[in-house]
Amino acid sequence: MPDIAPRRWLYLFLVLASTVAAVTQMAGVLQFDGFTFREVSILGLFAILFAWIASSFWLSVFGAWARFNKIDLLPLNPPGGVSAARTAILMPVYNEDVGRVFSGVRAMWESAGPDFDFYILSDSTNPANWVAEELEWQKLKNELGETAHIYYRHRPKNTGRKSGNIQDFCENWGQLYDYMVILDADSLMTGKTLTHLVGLMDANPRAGLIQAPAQLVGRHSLFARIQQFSSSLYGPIHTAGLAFLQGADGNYWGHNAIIRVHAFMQHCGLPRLPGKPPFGGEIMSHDFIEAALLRRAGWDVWMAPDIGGSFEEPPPTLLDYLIRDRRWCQGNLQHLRIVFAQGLALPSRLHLAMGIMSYVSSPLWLLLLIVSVADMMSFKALPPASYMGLQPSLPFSVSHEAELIILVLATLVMLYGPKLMAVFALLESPEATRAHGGIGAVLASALWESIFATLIAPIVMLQHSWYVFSILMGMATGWNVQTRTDRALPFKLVLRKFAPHTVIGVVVTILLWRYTPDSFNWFLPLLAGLWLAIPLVLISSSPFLGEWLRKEDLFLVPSETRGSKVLGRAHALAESHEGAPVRAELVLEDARVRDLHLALLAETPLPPVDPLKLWSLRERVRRGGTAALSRDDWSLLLSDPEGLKSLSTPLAAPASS
Amino acid sequence: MDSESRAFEAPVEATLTGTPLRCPRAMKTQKLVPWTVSRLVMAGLMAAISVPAQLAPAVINRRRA
Repeated sequence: MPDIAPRRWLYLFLVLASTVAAVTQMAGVLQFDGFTFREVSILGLFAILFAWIASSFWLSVFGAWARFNKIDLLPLNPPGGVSAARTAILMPVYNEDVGRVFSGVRAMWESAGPDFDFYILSDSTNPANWVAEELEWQKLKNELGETAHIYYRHRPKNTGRKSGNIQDFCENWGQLYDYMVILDADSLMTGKTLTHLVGLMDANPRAGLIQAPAQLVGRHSLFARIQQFSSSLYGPIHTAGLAFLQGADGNYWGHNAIIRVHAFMQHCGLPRLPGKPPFGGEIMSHDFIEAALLRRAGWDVWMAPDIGGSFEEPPPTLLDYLIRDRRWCQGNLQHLRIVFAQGLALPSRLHLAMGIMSYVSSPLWLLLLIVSVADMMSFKALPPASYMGLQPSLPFSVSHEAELIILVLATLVMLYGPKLMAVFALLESPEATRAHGGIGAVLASALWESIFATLIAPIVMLQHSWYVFSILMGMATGWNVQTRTDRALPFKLVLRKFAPHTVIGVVVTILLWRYTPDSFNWFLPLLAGLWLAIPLVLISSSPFLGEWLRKEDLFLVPSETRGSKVLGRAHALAESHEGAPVRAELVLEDARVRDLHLALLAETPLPPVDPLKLWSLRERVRRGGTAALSRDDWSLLLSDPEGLKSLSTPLAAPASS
Repeated sequence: MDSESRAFEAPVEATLTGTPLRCPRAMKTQKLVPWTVSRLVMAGLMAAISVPAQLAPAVINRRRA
């Protein structure tokens, strides 16, 4: 096992040295007439933000270095022979597209074989989803036969969301298994990868968790294809940098990871935080905390950047990406309360802090821009007498142009340097280059990706700033269902959601043009993104455009050029899935559906229900049918075996006639 | 019978089970002791009291000497 401390010290030194150099340069620009409070604020914000981008830059440098020098990024004992361990593959679902979920499970089962037990852990609150999942599960069981250990469990209440769902599995069946592999509803892993992960866990008894970074795949919209390309191009050096520096102090990203069940059960029971959401209550982003708890208990947490065969799908549009970010932002800001918790290892605290910073950096950038503009505006307004001995007529940006250009260049290197390194790292491998469409396709795609990323950056910055502000004001969000299907967004929706960004862009343009015309050009890249917010979101949501650019060899990724057996199978199954939606009423209308539901319900511990409420619900259904039932009513009805038995007979007659 | 359910015509087995038998064992809730403003203030107060208290004997001893 290599000594990781010197790498970390070198990394810290490089981040600090580059930050100190940039801040000194900035101080030189600002100090020529002494420091005002605003200028000290600018300097403070600049120092924090430059350190943030420098940490990302140097991480990529380390990652690129590790890649070029073929460093072993997972220094673990290699897998031995055939494993005797029992492994459960867990697929938590919450009102997901049923056909897609079961297609994924089937494709993985076919790839992995009967050595793995699959659990579909449903928390679905939509009654139609619940019934459809049961029917799909039975169909899958019948088609695959006795050898398939595919289980289905539905929880009446989704207490603790995903982490509560996993905890429920552990508390009921965890003792049956050595390892569990956690998936997401849109994630897939190949049998080879699953077997390899099990072998690694067998051969390394100190390993509590191994994260297999997921490649983004499977979407067709322009936005998603750009995300897929970006993750395929920049992901390898980023994950290499992380693995190189974190060693056994790794992190957990919530899915596509194998976990030692008894370590998890012993050390990862999550507490409720005191107080109300958004900062109190259930821990929303549980994955980082679970990794930190495993580390605190002495278990190793690894990342396997080169393992491959691990996939997930990106959000189809920028709007969906930002909706997901609202939840992630709240989850990460909640970590503010845990980052100083007792006993956590320093790298775990850094993981938490970096998660927090990935959202807090947006309002800090915004604040830096506002204070800088205010400073420029006040600079022009000052009487010439205040610059005794200097050149009062020269504007800020001209008098220190050289220093400012150096600073801007340094910032650009920090922001775009990792992209360049990633392109070089990719082009070094002819096979990887071909898998991305060839040299020309890689260069053109990287250029367009950088332009797109630059344009959406201010939109994301504004949105994240609003998220942070609203969360600090105590506004909590729920955990809604993610949109996982490609769709071109309707113009009215985009207009409603992104008009504020455009209006802010136009107002800021007028203000800058009016009060700081000399510095206006510096802000053009930022302003352009805001002006174009609506067309950018609209156009990038188009699956047609995404597909057209695929034919033009832009944003190609290996899963598109070479294909993948498990992905191809999952997509083919999903496409051939019978499309007719299942209605919850089938439980009352069809005896077989009812019998299946009752059989599954018989083994579910049901929460106590007020008998009067049940009686009233049964009477309502008996007299008025199910048309007026709310989702809660349905949930109650579907959890009431006696009620279902008594109600189904009279309703079944007209349906079968 | 509803056409939607015809894909699932296999009879439901009398012994059909969705999951293996449960073998319950509770997970232990971990202590995280999140910090709060009052905890931070208390920690500050404790430091303000304990640090001089620890330093005081040394100062007194030096004066005596």
